[in-house]
Amino acid sequence: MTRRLAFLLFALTLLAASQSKSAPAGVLGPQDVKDILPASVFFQGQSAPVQMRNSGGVRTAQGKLILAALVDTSGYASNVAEKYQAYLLTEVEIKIEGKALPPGAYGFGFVGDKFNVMDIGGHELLNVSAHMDAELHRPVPLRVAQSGSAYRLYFGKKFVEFAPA
Amino acid sequence: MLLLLFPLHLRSQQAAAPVVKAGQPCPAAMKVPQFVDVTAQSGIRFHHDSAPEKKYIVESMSGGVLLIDYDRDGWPDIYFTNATSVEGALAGKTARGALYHNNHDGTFTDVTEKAGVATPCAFAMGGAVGDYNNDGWPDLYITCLGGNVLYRNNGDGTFTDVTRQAGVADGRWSTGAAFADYDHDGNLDLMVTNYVDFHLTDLPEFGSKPTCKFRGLSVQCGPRGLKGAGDSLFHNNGDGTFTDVSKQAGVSDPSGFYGLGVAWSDFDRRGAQDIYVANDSVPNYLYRENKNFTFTDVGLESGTAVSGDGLEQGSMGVAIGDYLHTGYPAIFITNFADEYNTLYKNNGHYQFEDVSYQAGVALASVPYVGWGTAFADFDNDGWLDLFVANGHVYPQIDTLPSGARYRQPKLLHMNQHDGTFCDASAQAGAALMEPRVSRGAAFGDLFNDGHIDVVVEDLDGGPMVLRNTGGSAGHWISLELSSPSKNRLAIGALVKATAGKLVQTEEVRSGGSYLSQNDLRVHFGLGTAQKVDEIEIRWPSGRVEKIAGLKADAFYAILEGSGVVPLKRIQPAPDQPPR
Repeated sequence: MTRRLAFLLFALTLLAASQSKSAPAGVLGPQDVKDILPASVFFQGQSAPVQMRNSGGVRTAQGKLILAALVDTSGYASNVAEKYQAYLLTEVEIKIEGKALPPGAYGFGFVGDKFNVMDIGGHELLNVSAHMDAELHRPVPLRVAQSGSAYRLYFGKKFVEFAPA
Repeated sequence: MLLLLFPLHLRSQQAAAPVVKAGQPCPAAMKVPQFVDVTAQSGIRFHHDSAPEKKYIVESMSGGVLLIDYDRDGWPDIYFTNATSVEGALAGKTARGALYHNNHDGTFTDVTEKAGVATPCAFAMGGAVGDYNNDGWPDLYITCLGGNVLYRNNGDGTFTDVTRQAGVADGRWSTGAAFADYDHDGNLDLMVTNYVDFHLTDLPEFGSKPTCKFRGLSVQCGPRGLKGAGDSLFHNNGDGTFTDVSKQAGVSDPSGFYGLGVAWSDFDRRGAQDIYVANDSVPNYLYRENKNFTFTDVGLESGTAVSGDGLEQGSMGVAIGDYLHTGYPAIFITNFADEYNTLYKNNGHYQFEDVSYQAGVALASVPYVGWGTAFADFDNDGWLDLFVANGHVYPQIDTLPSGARYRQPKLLHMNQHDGTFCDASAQAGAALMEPRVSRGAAFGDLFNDGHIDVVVEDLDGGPMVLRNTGGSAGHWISLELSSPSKNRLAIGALVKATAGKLVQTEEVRSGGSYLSQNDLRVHFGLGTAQKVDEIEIRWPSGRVEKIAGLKADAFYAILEGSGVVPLKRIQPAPDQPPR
């Protein structure tokens, strides 16, 4: 009886583990990432809350995560808040508009028609042109969407394309 | 659909008036209404008590003002909410609100003590007017931090606090409130928005966290970084009590968004009462009534939750009006500084479009924090204009070398009859340009002269009674609606006025603006028309009534089923005991 129970528990554990690993690849929404993202994030000298309702990401075919979320940046000085709007966590190297970004935690923002990625010290690492999706119906503050074999990171109607390298 | 919708007539309806590019100063040829600050002459001496430093968010959000014709004499009276400081509240102090009786001669008399409405709570925010017990006397609901108050109007110039019996205290930090009969049982129900989960025993310390900073300055904390509070819908049981049905109705706000302004409207003219909630710093709600007395939030699908670019805004006040004469009411929202006030054009079928910039109401608002607002026809040309009261929340910003200031002027957008507005803020008299820390604003014909006036409540000072001395010689009509036994103030009634080619719609609406209450009478500007060809009323009961040939420039009392009647017939008997 004891051996039978032990076997059952072992089987259930294996099943749970396999389900965790086999979480489907693709786009993630706020409900998918709310238990993964930290409640607040550090950037340039202070921490600020993450807006879970405005979050999203991608789970790669290998189970690696790329996550993004808006941050409440009202507490930052104007010159920081102007360029820092959101947080990016990636477990894999990605290419944003063709430019490589290694795994790590970053701040980013859409400023004018540019998309900037900064390290958590506020130093600019990547600067590319953003696009405007004028036809996008009912835009939301932040959203990740599939775009062919790549993905789009939307900030309202603005977006950049990215993909795992 | 009981009321036929009608096509856009826009400029073809009117003799051509000069038009400027949207948002530009109004053309010199336009007769802009002039607003004169008559507070001193009015005898109103109210002063808001909040702490000047605004170290806590609860000290920044009060200031609702309510027009209530409490004695039903046909002249709007005024109630100002008041709030003490946190320090004062901790010392057991309350703040004295004030009820001013309209003396019919341009002056008002403080009747607060006699009325018994002086101190509903330490932090009174705003409220709404409605006749919850169907005795014909307008009752007063005041929102507060820590417990709201329902004052039953006794019909003799006094009120009785019936909150406990009625069961509408809520107990959280309530802000907006509005009555409507959403289930058509003839009894007014009550929607209440709540802001943040705030307790005097656990104060978020000034400047203590990143969310207590603004542009690097230490400021009050919140709303971001503080837990939100849900909203409440109280169903009127018809026996003087209410039941909280928020959850089953689907409007409890489980996300805990920061609720402020609230208004009911039949947005798709289906004979249903929908709800719009302006939330601060998060998406707004548009609750569509499901025709079974439950609601579904269609904010995002309808395009009214966020700006047209998909960005969340710090929303405060809400105005609803058919500014395009399409038959469908648009939504106008006042927002935080560095955003813009948002005008959502109603395309029907719960589809809205952010036309703020095209319409010319966005750019001028960017430097300001907007609060009280309304669509109203200030120049009686038959087209709804827009008014906005402004004022920042952080006095500390005045130490910054540039950018928005704490005290801010007001905005007046005049309708150009083509879907655009011109900016008349600097052309409507010096009072609008005077920088103030304004909050609530209530709109109505205070002096019964056919012009819509404005009462603005300010923090850090006295209110401003802005008398509209006219501008154009446009004609007008004013309608006071009443139902004989149920929902006697006819809240939710939909009125269509046809005067020549001018076809306008308006609702009798409780609440709205920023935590405020407008005159319940329905006012239509008529332009050059000297009569109204037809008034069509869809009463809250569902009855549709048509009245033909009303002469302009007059006030009419209309009793459901009886048409135009002497004012006396819709006034409750003075000795009628409260129900």
